[in-house]
Amino acid sequence: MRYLLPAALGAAFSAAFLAWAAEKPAGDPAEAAPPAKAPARFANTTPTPVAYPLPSMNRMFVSKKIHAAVAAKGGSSAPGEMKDYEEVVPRAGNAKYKLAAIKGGEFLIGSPDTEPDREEDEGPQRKVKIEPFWIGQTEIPWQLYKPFYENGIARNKDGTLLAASAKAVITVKGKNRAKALKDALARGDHNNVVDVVSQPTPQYHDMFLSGELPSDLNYPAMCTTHHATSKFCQWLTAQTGHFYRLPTEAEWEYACRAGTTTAYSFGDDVDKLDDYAWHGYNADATYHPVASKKPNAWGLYDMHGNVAEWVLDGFSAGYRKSLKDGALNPWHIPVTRYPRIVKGGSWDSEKEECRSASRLHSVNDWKDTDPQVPKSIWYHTDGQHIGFRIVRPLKTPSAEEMHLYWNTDWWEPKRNSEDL
Amino acid sequence: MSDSTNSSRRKFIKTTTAAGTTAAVAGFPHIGRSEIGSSNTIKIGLIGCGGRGTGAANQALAADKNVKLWAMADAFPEKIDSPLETLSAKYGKERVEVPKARQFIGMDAYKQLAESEVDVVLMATPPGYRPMMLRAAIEAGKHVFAEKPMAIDMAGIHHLMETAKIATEKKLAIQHGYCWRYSPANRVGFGKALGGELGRITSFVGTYLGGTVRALAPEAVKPEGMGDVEWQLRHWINFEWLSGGPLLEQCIHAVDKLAWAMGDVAPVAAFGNGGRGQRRDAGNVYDNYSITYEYPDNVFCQIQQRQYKDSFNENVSRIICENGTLIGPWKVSIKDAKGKTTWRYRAEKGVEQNMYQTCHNEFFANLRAGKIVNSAEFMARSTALGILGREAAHTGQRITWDDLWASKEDQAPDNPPLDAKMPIPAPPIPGIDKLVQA
Repeated sequence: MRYLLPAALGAAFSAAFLAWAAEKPAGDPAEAAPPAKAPARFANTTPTPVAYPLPSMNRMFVSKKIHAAVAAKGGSSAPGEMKDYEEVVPRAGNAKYKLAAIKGGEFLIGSPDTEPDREEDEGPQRKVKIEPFWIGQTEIPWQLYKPFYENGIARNKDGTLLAASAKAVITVKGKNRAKALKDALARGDHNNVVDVVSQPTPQYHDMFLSGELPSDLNYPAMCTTHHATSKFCQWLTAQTGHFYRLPTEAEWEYACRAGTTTAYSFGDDVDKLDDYAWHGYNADATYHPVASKKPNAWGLYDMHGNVAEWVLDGFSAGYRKSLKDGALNPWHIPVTRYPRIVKGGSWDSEKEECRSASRLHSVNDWKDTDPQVPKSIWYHTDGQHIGFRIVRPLKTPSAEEMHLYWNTDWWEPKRNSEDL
Repeated sequence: MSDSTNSSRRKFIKTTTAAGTTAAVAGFPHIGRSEIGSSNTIKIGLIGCGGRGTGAANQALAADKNVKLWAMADAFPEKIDSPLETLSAKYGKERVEVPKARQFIGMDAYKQLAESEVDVVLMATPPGYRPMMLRAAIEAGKHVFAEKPMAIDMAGIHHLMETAKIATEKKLAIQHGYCWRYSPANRVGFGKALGGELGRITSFVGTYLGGTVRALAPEAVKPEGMGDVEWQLRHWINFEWLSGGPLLEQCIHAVDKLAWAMGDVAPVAAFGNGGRGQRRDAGNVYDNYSITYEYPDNVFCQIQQRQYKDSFNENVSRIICENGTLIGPWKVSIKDAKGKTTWRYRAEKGVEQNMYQTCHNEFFANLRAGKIVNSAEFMARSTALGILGREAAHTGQRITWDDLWASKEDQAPDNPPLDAKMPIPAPPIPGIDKLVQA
């Protein structure tokens, strides 16, 4: 089944799509249809509407539950009432994470031809519209990411709960009941949606190079796959009742620029970069605690350098040419796992790669030292320079949209071919 | 480090396209001088079709465009389809040609594959089976790539030493899977230390501290009706007779780096500790080891292994020299006596850095060139170094290298059927359990 999805997703899903989504029975997830196949070729440009089915439909029930929880929690939808706030994360021992309110607006995405050391794919510049959102003031630190990847629950390789059914366990009666219940919890509680969200399986070995790179709680999480960060957003949403996702490239760059049109958020003077960023020439070959340099004008730290940050978009060198002025919330929807965009450069980057418009992309070399086929969907063995931060759009999207934001890695149900 | 920044991987990342990681193989001569070179196509057979086996097949296929996956073997039928589909999708039906007739299933599948028309056998089965399977492949006249470790007990090691001789007589290559020996970064780094650039090597400290690896759940029991051997094989990493325990199965990489740093000379002895700190499952492997290795000239080295949840992780090798420390295997660098980094490896742009790939590139290039490299003895000795440490911990004794080689410990029958009885021995208790002699 195919239906039309307008590329500017912030606007609305097509009526045909919503009708289709509504007629799908919730049903037993085990009996649900297998994941829909990605089309052989995907136009992959916005804002051109494109036809494709949603990924990972057999896990839609999780997104629907979470959407219901977000809807029940409610909250302001008036742009004027947006404030910075601290999110409390129960699964991280009620650790707090600060988010900055970002007003909607228009900005020029990309860099002009005249910008030194720019790459061709950063242009042509386009004036695009961005709706209001909150964005993390810092990169997601280990403090929040550790309880997600060290979840301690037996899982399948795709991160779903290992036990096929909770019922088999809780029907145990008598003196063995207490133990059975405890064991069921170790496998994951099917009644708790936070557990049900797909989460990382244990690492085969320490990919974070803890002997050589610190793993203190105030350092940014790294070595995370795009998929793992998307699932982190779902996990965080499930426990907070606020909808979180990765930023689009446009949102990220809008927030990074903070109203500027210069190469960096602090101007064009590259000599000032040391005040704002850990990059390849001042970081001593390692990442650093979040927010240990100056923030940009909107209070955001490490937008330049430290760890490069995942955004929702797929990479294609020619994408900007197809983008139109006036596009609303543009998103270059990825249907393949590679290449996707990381923004801001890292501790391992050239200075110019830390510019606001710079865009690097993922390559499968980032899994070089993963010896298996298929490779882990959770860890980039060679991605010690890759991290992320999150956004919360002011408008709460539909369950289907949420599901899409959290599952773009599943367009291609086969986990193998791209990683080989 | 100022000279190093221009050739960094970040530039590489930017310039490499997603599909641009193909190995540099085009230059290999297609007409070799050994028996393998008589035809342009090298037929490979894969024994053990799990994640690592499929990975090895992928690397073999990438290493040489005239390699063809010809046969597959696994104990369990459901293990074949998915890797076959994956590899076919990438390399096409012409290079992955494994019809049903050449999909071998069951406990004798390895033998059927070895005796089929393949030229090269790739082995990625549980190491308890390695000596037996390697012998079968060599007797059938095949070149072999074998994953680490090579055996789990001394009976296996002695068997391997014999196989090594047979392979030499038959002019067959045996390529080992101690992957770090093929890592371009570590070759440069270890080369510096071994070449004396930092003065005399005074010690080696290697860690492999990580999380649990496919550990049985504490409450897991054998399903009704399933044979002992089948259940244990499906969870092989948890059982000594199949995996050799984590010091051998996983930390053997650190042990092999120790051997490398010591110039592959024989140690004098080992002593150490180990146990089951977190494990509460039905298996019998330890989950931690800490071993001191004694080498000639009063050199003492340390290996630490652990598979713990929620604990400090580290996987680092440190070659401690008079004038500095060579650090590997991930961020290969040198620190001076004050802890300042004075050198860092930088990959040369466009040169293959994936050690799993370089291993297979060199394997097939050597075969093409008629160069027969038989590393079986080397592998057996490196594996024995792991067994030395493990037995020292299991017995609580200081065990000499000579004592170890006098041992004929044999943990299990060679190839028990899936439904055979296989009681699980209790984990060893130091001070009570003894090194098995004779």
